[in-house]
Formats: sequence, C-alpha cells, structure tokens
Amino acid sequence: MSEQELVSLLKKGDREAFDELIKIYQSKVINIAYGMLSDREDALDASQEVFIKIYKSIDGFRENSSLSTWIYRIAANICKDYLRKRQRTAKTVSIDNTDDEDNEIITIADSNDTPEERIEKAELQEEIKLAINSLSEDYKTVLVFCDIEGMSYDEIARILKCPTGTVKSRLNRARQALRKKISENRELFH
Amino acid sequence: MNDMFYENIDLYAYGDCTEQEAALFEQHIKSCEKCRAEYELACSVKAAMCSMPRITPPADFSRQINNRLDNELKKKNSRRLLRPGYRRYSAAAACLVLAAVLGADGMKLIDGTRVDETTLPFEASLHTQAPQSDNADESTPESVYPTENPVTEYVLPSETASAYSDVPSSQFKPDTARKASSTPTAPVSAPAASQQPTAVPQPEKTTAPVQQASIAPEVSVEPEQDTAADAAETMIPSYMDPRDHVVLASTVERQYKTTGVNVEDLPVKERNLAAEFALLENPRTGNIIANPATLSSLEGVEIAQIKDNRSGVHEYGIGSGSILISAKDKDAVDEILEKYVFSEDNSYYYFTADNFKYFIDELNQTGITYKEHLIPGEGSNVAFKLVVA
Repeated sequence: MSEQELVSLLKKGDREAFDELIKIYQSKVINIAYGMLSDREDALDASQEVFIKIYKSIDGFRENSSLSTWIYRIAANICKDYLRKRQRTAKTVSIDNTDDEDNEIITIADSNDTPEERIEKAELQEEIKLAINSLSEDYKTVLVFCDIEGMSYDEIARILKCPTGTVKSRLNRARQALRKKISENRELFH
Repeated sequence: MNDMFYENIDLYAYGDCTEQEAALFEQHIKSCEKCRAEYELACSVKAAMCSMPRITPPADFSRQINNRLDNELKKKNSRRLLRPGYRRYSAAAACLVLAAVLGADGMKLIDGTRVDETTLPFEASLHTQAPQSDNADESTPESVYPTENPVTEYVLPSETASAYSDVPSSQFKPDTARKASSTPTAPVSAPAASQQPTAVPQPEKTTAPVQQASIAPEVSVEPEQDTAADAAETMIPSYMDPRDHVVLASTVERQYKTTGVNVEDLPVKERNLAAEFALLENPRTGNIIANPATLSSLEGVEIAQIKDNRSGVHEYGIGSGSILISAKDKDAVDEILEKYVFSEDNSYYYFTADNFKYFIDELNQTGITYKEHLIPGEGSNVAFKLVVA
C-alpha cells in the first residue's frame, strides 16, 4: 500500500490501515520515545499516545510533508510534554536495561567487538543515557533523532520545522554538552 | 591548550568541519593530550550512540493502542449522551439504523422519483418519527455522523432569522436529504410494516437496536415544518453542547449574507462550496462560532476569516481561534511556534493543550504582545490562525 493510499484510508477511520501504520512505525516511534524519556514504560505509554494522536488528527495532515516527518514531529512533541510533566512531578527514572517485568531491552552487539569492548561500550552507553537524561529537551531531540536514530540533518530540519543550519549548530552544542556531562560524571564517580 | 579546538572537537569527530579545519584538528591533537582525550571520547560516544539499546515493541502493542483508542472514543460518546437534547439525536439515529436494517436505499431519492415501496428512505424516517419517549434507545452511534461529512446542514431558528431581514425566512427549511445524498427532499411513502427487511450492511460502530414496530404502514410523508428547537438540537455537531449554540445559517450563501460578506467577492471555489459546515452563535457571548471541522480545509479557513458584522469577535469551536501579532514580532513568534506546533494547515497551527500553554508562556516571557480570540480547549488540541497586523 502506498503512503497516499494509507493516508486516504486513515482519513476514513479505517482501523486496518491504522494497524498497518502502527506496524510500520511502532519500532521507530517507541525508540525515539525511549531515547528521549530513558524509561521503557514511559516510552511505551508515550508511543501509544502518539498513535492515538495520529488517528485523531489525521485530517490535519495536509500531505505537504511526508507522513513519517509528521509522525516523528508528533512523537517529539509528545515526548517533550512527558518531559515537562516529569519535571513538574519531579519523577526520577531508572536507567536500567531491564524494566520491572524483566523484559530485557535489546542491546545491539557489534560482531567486531571483543567481549571487553562490548562491556566497555555497554558501560559507556549507560553513561550516555544518564548524561542525555540531564540535557535540555531540545538537545535530547536532536541527539536522539540524529545520533541514535540515524536521521539526516535535512530530515530533522523538516521534522522540527527549522533550518538545516539550526539543526547542525544545535547538534554540535548538544554533542558538546553530552561529552562534557559524561566527563563531569566520570570525575564525580571516579 | 587551544580553547577553539577543545570547544569544537565534536565537529571534527563527527565530520562536520571542512577539510582544512580537519587537517588543523589532526595536527593539533598530535601535540595536545587533553584535546586528544576529548576527541577519543567523542569518537567513542559517536560509536556507542549508533548501537544504543533498543526496545522491541510488545507483541500486543497494536491491540493496546486500539483498546485505548476505543475507550477514549467511548468516553467521548458517553459525554455526548449526557447532554440535553440528545434524545432527538437518538430519535434520528434510531430511525437511520432502522432504515438501514429494513433495506433502506436512500440513493433512490437521488433522482427525486417515487421511492420503492419496499424501502424506507433515510429522509422519510426523519420526518415520520415523532420525538421518542424516554425509553428510546439512547445510544448515538458515531456512524450517524459520517466521518467524511461530520456536520450536516443547519437551519436558522425563526427568532434569530428575523434579526437578519435580508435572508428570506422561506430559505430556512431543513434539508436533511443532504445527510444521505445531495438531492432535495421529496414526499415519500413509508413501506408497509409487514415488509421483511433486506440484508444490508450495518453502519460501523452502531449500537442502536432495530425498532421495527415503530414504523406505521402506508404513511404519507411531507417535510415537516421545522421548529427552531428541532433545528438547533438535531443539527448541532456532536462535539458541541446544544445548550450553548444557536444555529445561524447553513449554506455558504446564507452564511455570507448573515455576516455581511459579499458572495461575489469570494473566489469561485468558495462560492461553490458544499455546505458541510455551519455558523453558530454562542448565545451567552454573542460570538460567532465556525464549525471546527472546517478548520481542516481551505474553505474552513476562509470561513473563519468572515468578520462578524456585529461583534467583530470570532470563535472557532472548542480549542481554536486566532492570535493577532505585530509584524515586527513575526520572526520571533515563528521561532517559538516551531518549538511547540505539531501540525500546520494553511496558516492554522495545531498544538497539544500542554504545548499551547508553553507557547503562550514563552510569548509572555519574551515580551511579545499579542491579542487572542480563543476558546479554551477541553484537554484537546488547540488550533489557531496566526494573524499578522
């Protein structure tokens, strides 16, 4: 089914088309949310909200951008809502690799890494998650979209509705902030 | 240590500098231990971020979403059922469902010819049924309001019609044929009660049961004289509380006449609009309310620009409106908008309720002056048109 056909069916409230949309985008949306929220349950909850928002707002999609751009924009905004609510309620999140139900979060192993390198990478990834968690939502967004999800600067610019140059400079500042935070944390804990 | 290199080490690590700059960095880190350590950290971080742990979607993720969506839609429906006047909805809804079950073929009215006696037309059912008693089925299936055309034509109540003397009162008759088709209403006959219903697909999401016993045989039907109460209560969109709105005008021409806009000045496309929208008046404030369903279309945007020739204030349904800013602030406002908006539709910006609050907060914090004409949302999205003075 083409994107146009999918959108057309969604605008008619077709639930099968909605299921198809979920199937196509669920992994990306969930992991964008996980990158921004660092908590599996919040990520799943926020992702559900994203798809429900898509269903209810599909009439507002004017097809002058790609569907994915629109979906990821909604995901970013809903995650930002969660982050602000979290700030207001002063909720802390667990940066563990498992959740309460012991559903393991899959770690991607590079077959070229030695076991020691894998351990080092896993430890660094924990540091990264901790550091990202302390950054502003703008920095989190660009880091998640670009460095974790592998989107291009242009794609991110379309999602965030800002110039590509803004994305580049924001990303540079975000990476700098991330690196500095990791260094600070290392000095604190070692 | 050279601060310029240290501060921009990430540009080099991520390949975001020119070849010349890269050569300078490479040269520098050979001799600067601190920058070399930071460069190595940046490269490690870059590699680690490419393979961050990922969540596998739960197997029943789609089912969870659909269940949650169904619950939200049910809550929305039950809120509607609590509003006064819904009985008239349920009367209309029950009739439509009944017509569907009995094999109604409303399309036979398209050519305005006599209806097949084996069918009960949608349109006739609305006119033959008296308002239901308290025991009438009270569910209002969403399918009564087809999703493609969520708003039916509205009729000006007689008392309000008199305030607009330029609009002949004879124009204000219910045109419920619009609901099922584009044909004008025609006198029709109801079928005999003994007719067996033919199998027809049930409307989706309908919950109203069949009420076959209520159809009287051989009833000759004429379009009823519409009362203001009937018009207002049967024609208000489901998301609006009928207590709060007075129907003003239905077709494009009537709306423009009502509000003083010269139809001849409109672009051809708008003059030929299907009347899938309505202008309503909030009796408490006197403000004109445009059907929010129109906001998703170009036509709706133009309707929203109609100046109310009485109060000059516009409301655009729940959680919508306009915000007026000065031209000198446009760039600053655009920058703030981009942070919070999730959809844009022909100069209308859509926000979640929370993000809209943050947007307003930031406008206030930056000292940008603005004037808003908005109706507070009920936790739903907010949409507004940005008007630049």
